[in-house]
Amino acid sequence: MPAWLTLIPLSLLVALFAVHLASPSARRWVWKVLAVQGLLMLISGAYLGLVWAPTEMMMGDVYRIIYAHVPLVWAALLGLGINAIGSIVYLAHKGWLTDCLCEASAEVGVLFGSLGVLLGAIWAKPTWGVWWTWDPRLTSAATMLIIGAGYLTLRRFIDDPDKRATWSAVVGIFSGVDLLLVWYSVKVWNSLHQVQSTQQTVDPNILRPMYWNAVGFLCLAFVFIWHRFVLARETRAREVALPSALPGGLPSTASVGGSR
Amino acid sequence: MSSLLPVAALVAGAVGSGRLEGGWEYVWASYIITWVTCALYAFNLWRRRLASQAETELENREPSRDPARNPVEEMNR
Repeated sequence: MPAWLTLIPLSLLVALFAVHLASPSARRWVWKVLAVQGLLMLISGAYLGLVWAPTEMMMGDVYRIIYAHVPLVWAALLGLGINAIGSIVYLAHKGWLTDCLCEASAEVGVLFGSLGVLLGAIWAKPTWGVWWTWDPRLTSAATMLIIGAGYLTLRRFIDDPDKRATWSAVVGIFSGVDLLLVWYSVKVWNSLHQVQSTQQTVDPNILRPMYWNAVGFLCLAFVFIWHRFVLARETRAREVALPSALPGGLPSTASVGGSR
Repeated sequence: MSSLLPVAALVAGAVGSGRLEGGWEYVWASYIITWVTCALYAFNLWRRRLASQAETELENREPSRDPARNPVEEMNR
């Protein structure tokens, strides 16, 4: 598998994302193309990971979990990173669309993160002999997911859209701080979890299928986040749009516009 | 010395290759969990979108709603 092969679908993903941002009319079909691309990449990625990639020197065939575990965690970090940045943006310039994006990215980030941690535990059993250990990376990843789950739970219990958006944005920022801990934990502390694999330390035939699967999961993450965003936007429009026939002709208490 | 040779051969045979053998059940479990979870989430998201669209259409048909106002368009300004 040549090194440049993954660049083609990655370039397509970036190009389609740019089209999605630039053209509202294109949003009807961009997600469909990326869904098909993601699905095809994950199916071919499963073949590459399960059949094509060579057996690892020490972990044998168990290491093949890497082709799902690492891409899932990367997609989760992206989702929760978008949530953290969106939360900061929301607190600075309040806007419902930002809040909707935060909600969508948090849900997808927690989903992929939970899967990633679960797969890590499945991988840990045959290699480390335990399902779980309080290693810095595992602990910080679990903390990040607990904060993310708390973010989603908080949003379910607050009825007022304004308070919900503000309070959950504060929680989202904490999740972002922990995200940095997750990323740097293996470098800063003496960790059981291995450090980041690079082309200098790992056979390219092992790394390339991982990058292929990573792009596939990125496509999937985009499709999920987009649809979850649209769902959040529709819900928000119903919540903040008050009927005009109110006693005394009172105006809406919260504007629905992009910024207030 | 020669009597130790069978013992040495036995010990050497008990030493592994230094590589994990098997473990395919962990790999399959991981892939199946991933695919099933993603498929279930996609299905759940699709159902929630349908329900949301139906609710929005229902609200748009309510007579008290100001027909000149489109909150979704207002959100995008």
